This record gives sequence, C-alpha cells and structure tokens, in this order.
Amino acid sequence: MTNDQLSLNIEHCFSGKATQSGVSQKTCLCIAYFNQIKLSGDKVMVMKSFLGVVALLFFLSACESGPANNPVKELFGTQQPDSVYIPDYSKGFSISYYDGVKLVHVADPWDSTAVGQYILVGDEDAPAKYRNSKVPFIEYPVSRWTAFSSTQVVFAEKIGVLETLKSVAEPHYISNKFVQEQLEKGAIRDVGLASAANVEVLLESAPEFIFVSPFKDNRYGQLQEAGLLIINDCGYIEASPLGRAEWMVFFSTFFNKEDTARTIFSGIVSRYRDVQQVVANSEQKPSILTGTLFNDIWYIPAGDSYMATFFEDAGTRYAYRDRSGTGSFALDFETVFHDFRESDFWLITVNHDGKFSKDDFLQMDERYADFQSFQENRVVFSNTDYSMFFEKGIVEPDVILKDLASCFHPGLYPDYEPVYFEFLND
Amino acid sequence: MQKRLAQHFSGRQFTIFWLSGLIILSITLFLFNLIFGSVNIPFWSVVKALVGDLEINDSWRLIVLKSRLPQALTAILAGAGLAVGGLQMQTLFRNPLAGPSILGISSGAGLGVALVLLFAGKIGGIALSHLGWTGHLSVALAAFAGATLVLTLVLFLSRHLKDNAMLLIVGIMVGYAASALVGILKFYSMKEDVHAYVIWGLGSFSTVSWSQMGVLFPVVTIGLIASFFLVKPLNVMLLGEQYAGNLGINIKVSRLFIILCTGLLTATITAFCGPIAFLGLAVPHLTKGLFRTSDHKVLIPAVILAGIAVALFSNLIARLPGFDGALPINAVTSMIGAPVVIWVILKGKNLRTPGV
Repeated sequence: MTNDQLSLNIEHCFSGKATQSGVSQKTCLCIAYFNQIKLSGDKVMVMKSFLGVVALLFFLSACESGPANNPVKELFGTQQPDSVYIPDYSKGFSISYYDGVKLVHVADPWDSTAVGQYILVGDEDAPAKYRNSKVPFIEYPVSRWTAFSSTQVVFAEKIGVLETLKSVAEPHYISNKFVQEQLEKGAIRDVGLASAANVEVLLESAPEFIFVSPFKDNRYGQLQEAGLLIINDCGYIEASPLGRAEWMVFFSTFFNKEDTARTIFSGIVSRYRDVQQVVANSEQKPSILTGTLFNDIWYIPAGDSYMATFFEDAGTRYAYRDRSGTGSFALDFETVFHDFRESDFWLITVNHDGKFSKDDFLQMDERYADFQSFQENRVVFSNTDYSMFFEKGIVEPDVILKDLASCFHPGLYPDYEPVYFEFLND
Repeated sequence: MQKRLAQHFSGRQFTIFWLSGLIILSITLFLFNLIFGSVNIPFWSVVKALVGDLEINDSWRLIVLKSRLPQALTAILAGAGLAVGGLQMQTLFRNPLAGPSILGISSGAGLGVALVLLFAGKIGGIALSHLGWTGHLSVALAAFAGATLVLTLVLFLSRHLKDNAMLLIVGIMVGYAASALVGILKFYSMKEDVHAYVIWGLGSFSTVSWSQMGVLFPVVTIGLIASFFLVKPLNVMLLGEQYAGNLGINIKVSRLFIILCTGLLTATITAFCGPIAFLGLAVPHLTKGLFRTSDHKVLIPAVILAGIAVALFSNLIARLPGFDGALPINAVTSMIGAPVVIWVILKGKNLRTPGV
C-alpha cells in the first residue's frame, strides 16, 4: 500500500470521526498500519483491496455502534423467549428460542459479571431485523466453518457435520481420519497455531464462524478485526465431566442439530448414572493419587475439578476432595509423597511412543518406585499417544467413568476391557 | 563491623575468622535444609533418618533421604561451582559484571534444552512434556551438549583473539544468537512444551536424583579442585595481561584453563539445575566485601563457602515451611542477591574493577 493510500485511509477515519461519535481513531490508524505491514508487494493486490474493504467496513461498523448500549435488549426489548435451554450440567451457556430465531449466550469464562457473548442463529426465513442487527447472525445450514480445537472436531463427528469443516488449527492434535485425509487433499486448510492463526489462509477459507477455546489474553483480536466471527467454546473450563460433554448441545445449535445432540447427551448421562449406581453398591472405596512431577512441580487437581469429580463418581477417596477450587494445586514432591504414599491406586496420563513400561515410568523419576501403588502394580495409565483421552474423552465421560470403575473396583465389571486406561504391569 | 574487627585481628586472623564463620553458617544452613520443608518432620526423626535408623516413619525417612538430602547437596554443588566460575570470569575479564554465564554457556545449554523440549516435539507432532522428559536425563544431556558446543566455540575463538574484551563480546553475541534460535523454536511450539521450557529456565535444585548425582558430584568436585590450581595465574591476571606475560605466565594457556574450568562447572550445573541466575555474579562481590582482599588463595575457598551458604539459604527460602508449593529458585536468588549486592556497594565502596 502506498503512502497516499495510507493517508487516504486515515482521512476516512478522521472524516468518520467528525460525523460520528464514539469511534476510536486509534483503531482506524491501527488498521491502516496493519494493512500496510501485511500487504506490501504486488502479488497480493487482490487481497490488498479486499482487506482494505474489510478494514473500512470494520471502521464503519465501529462508527455506527456509538455509545455502549445493549444490542440484545434493543432487539428483543421485553419480548419473552418461547423456550430456553438451560443446561443441566454446564455453567457457561444458554439458548433462548424466539419465533424464527435462536439466541445463544456464552458467559465470559473468567468474569461472571461481564455480559458475555451473544450470537443469533436462524434459517433463511429469519426476519431481516435479526440479520441486520448488531448481534452476529449465523444462518443454517452452515456450509463453511473452522475448528480451532480437536474437541470441536469430535463434536462435529458425533452430530454429523464434519463435511462442512473447511479449516482447522493445530491439526496434529486431530486424529480423525476423514479430517486428516481432507487436510492432505487441501479441502480442509491448516491455519497453523490457534494462538497465532494465519489470517490470510483463514480469510481465503472464508468460514462463517470459528470455534475457539478462549485465551485469557485475547489472541483473536486480529481475526475479529479481519471481520471473522469468533465463537468462544468454553467447554474445557467446565469442572464436571458431564458439563464438558453438554457443550455438544451448544455446538450443535449453530448447525440446527440440537435434537441429535440432546439425544446423544441424554444417552451419555443415563449411562454415566448407571455406572455411578453400580459403583455405589461397591463396599470398597479405594484411595487414589493422580499426576506426576512436571519438572519439580506436581500439579494435582483441586477438589472441585474435572478429575476430582471423576474420582468421586468412580467411588474412590481422593485426599484433596475437600480442598476447594476447580483448577490444580502446584505442590512439591515431598508434600505429595507424604499425603499419597499409601494410596491404593495411581492414575496417570502419559504420551509415550509405543508401549509404556515400568522402566519408562521410573526414568521419569526414580522416586516413583517408593509409592505403594507402584510397588503393588496399581498404577493405571492412559497413553494419550493412542488412547485419545484428551480428544475424544470429552464426549465419552460415561466410558471414562466405566473404565475407572472397572480399574478401581476389579469385581464390578469382570469381563470389561477398559477403552482409555490400562494397568502398568511390565 | 569490618573496621572494628580489623582493629583486633591481623590480616590472617581476619581471614580465618570469616572463613570459619562461613563454614559454621554453611553447616547450619545445610541442617536447616534437611529439617525444614513443606512436610513437618521433627528434628530427631530427621537425624534418625540420616543415620539409617529404620524405626521411624517410612515416608519421613524417604522424604529426607530421597528428596531433601539430594536437593541440599545439589544446592551446595551449584552454589560453590557457580560462585567460583563467577569469580574466575570477573578476574579474567577484569569486569565486575562478568559471571559464569558471560561466555554464552548458559544460553548454549538453553538452546540444547529447547531443541529437545521444543523442536523434537515439533517433529514427532506430540507434546514432549507429556513424556515426563522434563526431569529426564535427556534434558540434562541436551543442556550439556549445548553448553559444550558453545564452550568449544569460545575456546576455539579464544586462541585467535588476543583481547579478553573481544572474547567477552563474542560470548555475549553467541548468547544472543542462541536466544534467537530458542525464540524461534518457542514461537512454533505447543503450549505444554513452552511451559516446560520456561520452568526449566527458572532453575531448580530438586530435579537431581541420586543417579544423576553420580555425574554432578564428581564433575563439580573436579572443577572446584582445579580452581585451586588456578590461584597463581588468576592472581597475576589481576595485574593485566601484559604484566602477567612479563612475569612468565603463559597467558593463552592460563586463559584456556580458566575458561575450561568455568565452562565445565557452568555447563554441568546448568544442565542439571537450569540456568541459576545471579549466584555467580553476586557471591564474588559479597565475598570481596567481607574479606577485603583480591588474593585468590583466600578468595577461592571463601567464594566456595559463601556460594554454598547463599545457595542453601535461597533453597530454604524457596520452600519455606508451612508453604505447600515452592518458589522457583531463580526468583529467590535474585530477590535476595540484588539488595545485598547494592548494600555491599554502598557500604564498602571497594567494588571497583577487581584488582584495581
């Protein structure tokens, strides 16, 4: 972009500022600057003008928004939704059904007092006032979308919308065969890192929306400025296993497949409850340790966390169950050793190429041999190299729970072969 | 206090007074390191564990023997080694800002670790940190390989460069180049791997197991013993290279040995503990402030003892009793070290270029 064009852009900004209040002059300058940086060189002429238009559009929309007022209130006023889906287990989202349109709300994952994000979803008959409002509008059937996390690919596979996936970030985390094939063919594009996605590839892939796992420091600002619609998928923040799986319903809303998702989810819930009931009949309540040293820090789940919930539901005693928090504690070796040396079981996840053996485990730290669970062959591990625990586990909490129950209560499921876990015996 | 002491003691007694003071301090701190930790263990149980009494609580025995003892030993070795390395570099370059990492050795070690933690993960498409490789010997090996590589380069260059200041610049430049490569690797790596690398960079005395101690202990001991043989060339270096040459010291050979000694110490310690900041820079200054001498016959043992004391003290603070987690050791060394050095400078005013 030449300097003339640059100054032209800036001029636009100033004239815009003169006519409209509330526009950030800085933003405009930023965009102009951004264009210049990104698009020097003649090869990207087309792209250049396109981005210029995007920048201009963005600037115009910024000008229009004016002083902050709630666009959702403006749109619906006091109108009550016909029905509302409030999830049973998840905390982060809700769906309101109005006549002809759905309003999806995602809570701010870190600040419960914040407004969060609103997205409208409707079909081609949705009234124009929804399409032209300041709340983003998504029309189904969706033909192009982007996944920034492997769990979204798993959701998509479950509800059958994988064919419309057009680009992904960090494909090495995705083990789905179809996606890998399409990636090789180039039908699905690789946009690189989620935290630093390639904007040009994304724009070319032209997704109607992008599912992202939000970062605390907003890494997606650049994508939003480029006019892409970002949808925060906060499932990974949910503390309960069922809560994480229920985000499938949220996910499916954008494809108008809630019925499918809700059927699948209720199946998951009922199978999960079945295992819980079977476990409740067991007389034993073995104690459990989890995790390993990461350098010299032992990250161990807090009492209300995802794993702690699994331990509780699998009928085990977890010593830190009473220590509140949904994240994890960073402890040193001696604290963990003191509190968990005599635990009955030890659950770990490893990423090991090939078969994981006791020797491999002791190579990580030779002091592991002093734990009783190790000495008594009661270490249970999931080798994420092939188990897909982190990827697929999110939609199969029932299977994980059954795995855990069968490992920790050997009598309960005598003929059951665990899917994700195995004992460390050799 | 220094002045008052100087009235009562002769120079030699003065030295002996401070040396014995440091020995007592180090032993006390060593015991404190064994007694205090996140788990409360009574004093007598610690003693019993050390003398091999099997009657006490098994967990306590294992914690003392397998966690606290190797950790305290690591702190001793790292403190002594880095302090001696720092002293040698400050003398060699006649620059009070020199430290054991000045030759780019720590950066080389960092590059080695980054290659293992970040780059290898890139090839395999998996986050290596999940492998538990972070505490693994391969990280130490990579760090050592990286450090040795840089050390070889610096040694090679030192044969061709006449001026020590040039060598200093080369060392710093090598460091920058290594950091740039690490930056590139970090940029393209997965969160977990970067996190593992960042944690390695914060330094730690607690990742050395007994089997790794079998490497760390002999190498650092050899390096420390070697430093005693370098007393004479180091003393002469203080006069400046030309004088040293006139006094019949082979400058190039002495320089080679000094660099080799520091390099060996820094490479090994950085490989096992990560880049420990500040100890190597601050401890020589502290020691010179206490002993008021530039004679390396006194300074080398003094710096070793002071290094041990400071490292043990930092380790103690890092795992303060009643505090579940642990602070990264680098945060503690720098936080204690910086004010102390400033205090010494203000108090002593004798912190000019060494030997001047």
